[in-house]
Amino acid sequence: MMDEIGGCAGKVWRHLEEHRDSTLEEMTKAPKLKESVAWMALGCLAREDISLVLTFRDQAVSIRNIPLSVADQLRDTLQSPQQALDPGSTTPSSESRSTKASRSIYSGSTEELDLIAALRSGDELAFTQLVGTYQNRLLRTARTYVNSEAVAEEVVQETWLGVLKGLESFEGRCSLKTWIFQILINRARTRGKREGRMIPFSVMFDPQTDPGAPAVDPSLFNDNGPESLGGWISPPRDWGKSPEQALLSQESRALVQAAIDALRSSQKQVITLHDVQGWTSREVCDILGISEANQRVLLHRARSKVRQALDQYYAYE
Amino acid sequence: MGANPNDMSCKELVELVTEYLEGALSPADQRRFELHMSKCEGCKLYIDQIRLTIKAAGQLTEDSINPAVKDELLAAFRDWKKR
Repeated sequence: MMDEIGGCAGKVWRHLEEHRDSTLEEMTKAPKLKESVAWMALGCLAREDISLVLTFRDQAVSIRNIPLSVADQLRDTLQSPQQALDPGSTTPSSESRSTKASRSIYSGSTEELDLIAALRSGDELAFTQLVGTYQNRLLRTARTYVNSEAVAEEVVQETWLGVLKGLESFEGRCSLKTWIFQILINRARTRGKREGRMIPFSVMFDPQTDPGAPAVDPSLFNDNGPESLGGWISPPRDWGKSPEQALLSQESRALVQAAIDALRSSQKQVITLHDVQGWTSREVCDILGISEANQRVLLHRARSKVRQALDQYYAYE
Repeated sequence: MGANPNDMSCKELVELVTEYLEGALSPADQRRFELHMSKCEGCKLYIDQIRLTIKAAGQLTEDSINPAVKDELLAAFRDWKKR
């Protein structure tokens, strides 16, 4: 019997990989499984720590495999334990999985389903925790679209009201985090446009926005060669004896923040989501609606500029 | 660096750092990148500094929330519950 269930679990898994959304009927029909065995196979997969979302709506059952971005995130965590230590990271770590909904939540996890159920039932603690997890990240993201802290606060406030309004009908097609940030970004964009301070993302590859233009000042490199062509005229200088320590100071936080604030908004948005808040590249692309290549160009420009700001401050001759 | 036209120059390398760190370089470019890095102290330092920059950005997320905002949101949640 266990063998049979194990074999079916494999079939179910393959089916779910091919069809990210599936009803129980489709799931039993295609791989030809009995419903009862299919349920056991699902149970078996769930025990393997594979997250599935089961949605019960009007008697129909739909089964959804976790989004690819989340699967990637999980794989990244398994491959590099380092990432789980990143304080800005939203990658699920063992710590966050045991402390329910405290730091990071990912789609399809039991924690997330429990949290949604708790919110719908009016659990104030669950709501407070959710606000605790996201409030500052939302504010920071909103600030990349609008020019004042006060407006950013209003946008975040509106976002939470939007979350409450939509909570009953939230279907879990994306993670709760993605959904909340989608609401935020929609509102922040509208607000930014109304203020006339925002350029639509698509035209944001500025004069320096030419994707081919270098992000690092070309005058730093030798252009007469051929021996030293493209080599450093004066190579980067050290940032002191213990740069890691120095970068933890309040002073350098302010410096990094100021450097990010000074970026063009498209670059600001990408570096804020990716490096400050630890989103995966795919999540950033999905929520901003840009390609991976564009995302990398923007991230590269942003990082080069922030590094330059740190360099001007810390470099020792 | 050497004069071999296939060699990556420092100028070229600094523009490929993000692609390198994101694992987006082609295998051939990755080899050229790593070969250059193994021989060039300046570029090694540059990459370290980009890594430090990423780390510094990751330390910006703060954890405290304005209590007034929290209360306001909780009040909104209670209103929502009553509906």
